[in-house]
Amino acid sequence: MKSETTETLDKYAIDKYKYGFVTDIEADRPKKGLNEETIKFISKKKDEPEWMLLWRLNSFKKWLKMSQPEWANLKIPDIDFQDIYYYSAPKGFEKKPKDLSEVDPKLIETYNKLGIPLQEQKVLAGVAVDAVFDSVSVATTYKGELEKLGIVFCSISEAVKSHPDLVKKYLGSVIPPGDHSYSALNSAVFTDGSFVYIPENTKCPIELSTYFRINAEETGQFERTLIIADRGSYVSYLEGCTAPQRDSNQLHAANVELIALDDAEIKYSTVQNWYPGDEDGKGGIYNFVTKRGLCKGKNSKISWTQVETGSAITWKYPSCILKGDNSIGEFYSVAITNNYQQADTGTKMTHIGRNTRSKIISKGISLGNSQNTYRGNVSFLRKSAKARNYTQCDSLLVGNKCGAHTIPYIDSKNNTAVVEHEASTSKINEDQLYYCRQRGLSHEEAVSLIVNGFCKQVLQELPMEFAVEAQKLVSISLEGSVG
Amino acid sequence: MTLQDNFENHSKQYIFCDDEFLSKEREKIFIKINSNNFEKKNNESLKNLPFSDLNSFNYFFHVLDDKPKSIIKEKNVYQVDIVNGRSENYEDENIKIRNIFSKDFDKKKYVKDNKDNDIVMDFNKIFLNSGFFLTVKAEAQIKIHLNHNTKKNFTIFQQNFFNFQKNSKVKIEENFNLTENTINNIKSDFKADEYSSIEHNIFQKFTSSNKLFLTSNATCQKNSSFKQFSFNFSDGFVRNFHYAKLNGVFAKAVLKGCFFLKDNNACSNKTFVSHNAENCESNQTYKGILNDISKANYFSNTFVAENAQKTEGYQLSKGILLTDTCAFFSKPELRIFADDVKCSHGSTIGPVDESALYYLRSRGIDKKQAMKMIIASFIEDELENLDEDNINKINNNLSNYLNSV
Repeated sequence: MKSETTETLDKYAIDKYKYGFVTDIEADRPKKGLNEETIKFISKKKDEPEWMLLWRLNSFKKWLKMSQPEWANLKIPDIDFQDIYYYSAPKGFEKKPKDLSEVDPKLIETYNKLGIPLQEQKVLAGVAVDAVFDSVSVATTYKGELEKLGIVFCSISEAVKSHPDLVKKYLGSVIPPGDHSYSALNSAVFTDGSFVYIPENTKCPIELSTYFRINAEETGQFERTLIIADRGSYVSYLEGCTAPQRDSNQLHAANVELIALDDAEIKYSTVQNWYPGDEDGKGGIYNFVTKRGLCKGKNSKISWTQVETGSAITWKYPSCILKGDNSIGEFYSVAITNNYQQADTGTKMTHIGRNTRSKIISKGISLGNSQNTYRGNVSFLRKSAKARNYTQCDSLLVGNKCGAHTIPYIDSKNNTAVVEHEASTSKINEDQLYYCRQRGLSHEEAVSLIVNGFCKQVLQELPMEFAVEAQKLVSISLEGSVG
Repeated sequence: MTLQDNFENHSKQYIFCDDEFLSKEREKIFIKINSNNFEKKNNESLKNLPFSDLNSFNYFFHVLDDKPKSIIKEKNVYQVDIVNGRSENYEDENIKIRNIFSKDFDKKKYVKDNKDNDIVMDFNKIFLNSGFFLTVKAEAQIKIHLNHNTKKNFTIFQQNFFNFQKNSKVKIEENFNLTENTINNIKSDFKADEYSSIEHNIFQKFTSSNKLFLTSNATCQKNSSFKQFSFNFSDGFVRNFHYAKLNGVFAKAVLKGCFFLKDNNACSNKTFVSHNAENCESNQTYKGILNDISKANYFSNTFVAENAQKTEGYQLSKGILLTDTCAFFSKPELRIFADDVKCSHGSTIGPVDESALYYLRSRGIDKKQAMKMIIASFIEDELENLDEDNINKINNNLSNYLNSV
């Protein structure tokens, strides 16, 4: 008789990655490989000013001298940076469509498959969407309404031309190009991404959203996001990612910079569901993302929430630099790894100002043959009087072929600062499982319910429309691997 | 004196220099360090210890004529004196002690045995000049007072091998009487056979001109138990790196420590427990109090192998910072490859609890006394298994430390 585990595993074999379709659109690409010519090509395609090109070329020079970071608990195969297309735009996108009716209907169909009906969202959800397809921002909805409030929500390429002062001032101010090799790479070849500026004392009335999708094969996606919240403003930003199912590995190296001035608040939520590779670990996205927020002003707040279910390899540490007095940094994360996925993710909270506070809640779930690592750094510098941190990171293991690792770094140089860290690793509680099964739930349903409960502390931090999707994603990620 | 000077001037004087294999190995390690061909930046073994401190010293060692003694103080209580790394050969129905020879070294183990690129252990291998074997025979139930006495200016590079045979029950108290300007780089291997039970208490108290690098590796077989408690009241630098491998089912390891730092002293602590068999338990707890401009770090690590189901592993690290110029770094790691486990870690760093202080002061206790009470209670949990003599010893040291706060 087949065991429950085998049965559910078989079931999972049919349950393929549902976002793995390819949209057959002619793409405009330069030659493969990374050199000054590629960078000049990208800059020219984007019609960028001279200063931007110089900035890119300087970053490229830094990248040439750097080696890839090696400290993460990951087995990363050698990446041939000369075997990647650094720019891929659906043909005919040099001139951007003015509204959705001008966009290729096939693209619109793609987004509909992804469950992002732009038209519908415009009307029903009230979410302004900037959808990034490979390297080009396709359409930004709700732009006009936001403009009335003085809010700038556009692609970064557009912002380089329309708001050069802001971009010049803040681009690379939180993640300097020379920070590490992926940040230098992104700074050299970033192709698109979002730019958000919220003016003083403005509360963004709707949630801003971006969907990223890598479509073309052998293409890297290098988006750059810059969000600036001026004094007393508030913005909530959502990010979703998918990619088609391919045998080859694709590289995604994004940089996201957030800047919160006095009394400003930024809430950044991510549901990352890049293609994780098949059940034998073939294919999938290498997700090497640098996300960093600067609480520059007093009483500012930056909150990161992430649900990480996709990618073959995830290397990602959304961080907060708490510079302003009384500023707050938060990090809520659910990371699920299955099959041969590897994730090394966590956060870094650097307390510089007085009375700064940070909170880290991380939930890791490992299944199959995967390896899931939480890596966090909490540091209190000399002047961070009365600062406080609370960290909780829990791991759940399903099966004995996977691994769950917790590697926190805690550094205190201030005697009035308080840091509290706790972590636990265990399997699913047998009593809870028994209780659920007794009430008629199948084994899989019971596990899904318990895992969702385990993640609830994080999921409830997501905006409503994302929370529902994330909850489903958690269940999908578990399918077939529990028993 | 530089590493090169020390190596070249004294390489013919080391004990075991007659052994070709050991000499070659030493030279290899010397070349690696001398050519700077190793990781320095993220090397845990060098945390809070500048490489220059480790590298420049005056090598000084010779065998003294006055032989140390190993005596029975009372029934089943032994006093083993180690003078400048040497002990007296001794044997009775419970215990056997003898100094090491070059032929004793398991060559494969000698080459491979360096965890985490530990530079301090590299120095230990290059300049190795002493060590002993101590075997506690099966069924013996004894207590050993192990006293390290190092004379002025001596540099001790020592490797000791303890074997606790089946069903033995041993309590070891290790003390360090270091005179002046000494370096003590000591590595001890503890092999706990089936059903043996070991309690290892370490007391470190010496002046600021001495340095102690203490490394221990415990290997526990089926149903054995290894409990280690280290108390560091030293004014000189101490490095406590302790490892335990739980290789037999139902084995148990406890690695606990407390340190009390002041002035510009530093200390580096690390514990690492590998769970390699089912139903094992471990507990790693370190607590520290830092004053003035002192600094400390604590790395703890629980590794659970794929087959080590039903593991229970706990870690706790607590630090109290008394001034705004001291610093504490902690890195409690969990690396888990088995699913049926209960593992956790907790870590806190902060000042003395203000509300506890307020509670005591509102009852008429002055601030200094209240601080003393809170700090004494901070380590209270770690003292519960010690006998009265040891508790008194720790309380006296603690009281001296608190008077200087």
